[in-house]
Amino acid sequence: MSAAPQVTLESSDGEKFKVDKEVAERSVLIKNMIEDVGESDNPIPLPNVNASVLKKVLEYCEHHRGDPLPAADADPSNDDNRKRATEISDWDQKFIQVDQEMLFEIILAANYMDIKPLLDVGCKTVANMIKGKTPEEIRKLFNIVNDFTPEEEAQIKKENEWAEDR
Amino acid sequence: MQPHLPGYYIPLFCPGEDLVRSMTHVHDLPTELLSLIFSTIHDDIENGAINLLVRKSHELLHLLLVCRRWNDLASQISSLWTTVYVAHDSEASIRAQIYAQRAGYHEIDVVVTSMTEGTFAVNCGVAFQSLLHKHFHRVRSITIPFSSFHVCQALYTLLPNLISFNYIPISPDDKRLSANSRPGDVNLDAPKLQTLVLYGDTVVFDKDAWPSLRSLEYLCCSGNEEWLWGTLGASQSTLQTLVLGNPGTDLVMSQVYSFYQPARVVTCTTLSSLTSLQIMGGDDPDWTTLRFVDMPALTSLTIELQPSHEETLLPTFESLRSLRLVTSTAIDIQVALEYLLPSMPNITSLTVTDRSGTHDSREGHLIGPLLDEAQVPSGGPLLCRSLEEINLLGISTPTAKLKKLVELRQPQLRKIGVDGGLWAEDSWFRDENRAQDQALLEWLDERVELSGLRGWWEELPELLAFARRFNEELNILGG
Repeated sequence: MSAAPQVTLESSDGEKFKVDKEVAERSVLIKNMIEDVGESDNPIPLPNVNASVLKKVLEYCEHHRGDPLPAADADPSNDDNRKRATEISDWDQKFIQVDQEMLFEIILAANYMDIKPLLDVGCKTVANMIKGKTPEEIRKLFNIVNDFTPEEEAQIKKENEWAEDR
Repeated sequence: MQPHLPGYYIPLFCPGEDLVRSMTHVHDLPTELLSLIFSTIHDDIENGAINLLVRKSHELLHLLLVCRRWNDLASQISSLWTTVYVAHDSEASIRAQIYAQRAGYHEIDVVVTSMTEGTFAVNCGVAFQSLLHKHFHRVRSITIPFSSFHVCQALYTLLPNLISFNYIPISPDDKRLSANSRPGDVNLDAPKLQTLVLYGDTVVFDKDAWPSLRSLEYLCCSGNEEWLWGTLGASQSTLQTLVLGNPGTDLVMSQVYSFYQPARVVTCTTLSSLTSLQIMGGDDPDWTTLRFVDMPALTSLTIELQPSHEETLLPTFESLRSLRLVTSTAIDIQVALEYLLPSMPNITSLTVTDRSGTHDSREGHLIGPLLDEAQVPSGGPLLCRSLEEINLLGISTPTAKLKKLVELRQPQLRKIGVDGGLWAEDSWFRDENRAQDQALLEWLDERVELSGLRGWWEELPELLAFARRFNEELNILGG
């Protein structure tokens, strides 16, 4: 039996990763590059992804290598598609338990490499971190400075906060 | 507002390093990714209950208040603003218009949040009317948790794209108000309406204006709803779900419900697309609906058993797969099952719920028709041969009978639920018999998925101790 075809990926900091073509092609970006350039021994450069992040992304791709790829024309407004996108499997939840810096790096890498399921997992994780928190708690969580004046804050509340029956 | 500063953050210093380096931060996410995250937060809170809608609104406000960048971005994502809230304060109208404008060209879901009567209701009514007047063509759904004359007045407007209308009195803590709450009349001119939820003695006009109706939920009906039969007649080919009455509260059970009135049945003889029917809290003594309205696609049926139903014969429902029976009165469930089950030969799921607490089935006679004891030994047909799941809720069933049920109905039968039922005989209170019954339960557990036993099992020592104390006290009193 012949070995599975492999490709080499090169991170922004020059580290090379040899992986099965099937795994690398979870990334639509890489899949298109391979299709455009054809089979080659040259490493595929990924100038926007450093080695530690690429290693993590490839771990995700390896685990999901057999999964069906999301349809390119999937309608994101379709409820089923959206629901699927917001569900996180147990493995994915453990995978994404990383520090904030790595989480944002993974999201950026997934976006750049066009790996939609990983992008969804990342966005959903950030969404879950935000949900149920007050503005002050969100600022503290993400280290965001409040750049509103008190008057501006009051104006936003007035425009948006409807009276609630108690 | 003052000129906006770009979003920024405090760079973090890495101890031990000469270089000051900022870590990747939420502000490093490009606008389209932050938009995706905001949309995920919004979509993850399902529509429906009013408290969830309130939560959705609060989440949005919190996003707006974090920083300028988030405020600008969230305000520009039109899909976040498709739920428009109409409150009762003096700013309600302006705020509703702001929300509707932010929603851009999207259709909007209008939620009236005011549950206050009196002066404040006027504000709410004005805001609601103004919103509908300006955006009538964009309104996709309306939820009115409580209504007043002022709110209902606004409904005298053509809503050409309305597909869902929910008109349910809900108190602030999200519990339904009493049936005595009288919502106002509704004049709903909505030719594309698909889902209609109504409550109480609502008088609805334009009964023929909903040719696309797919789901009708009418709770606490009073009986004189001529529009109801007109509506059913007009949507005979489209209606898929019909819920009449309310199984959730005892209050509703006391309502006199006369859906069955034969004089009106003639206006609707077939519901060709109906797949789910629920008739609860009823006083339909001879199940006129089930006997005279043809429902060839029906797959799920929930009905309340009344004493007069015990010996009612029904036509055969070939397509039916799920049957749920509820009883709140002392009727003979066994006889009712004997009459009902032959007309539902293909059901795969049967749930019988006894809310009356009057049935004592320690002999297991209630499941006699499922055991078919009289017929099986002589080679007769087994009733409802395809049953995969049987739930006997609030019904006592001895373990020996359950074992027999499994023996007869495997391999089809895969799941048994006995929540709320005393499944043991008196023998359980005698130590010497307990081991035998425990062995029976283990036998069952190996063969089918059991639910409702575990909790009881864990509480058993406490129950036994109580029974012993009770018997001792009885003996003392007797002595």
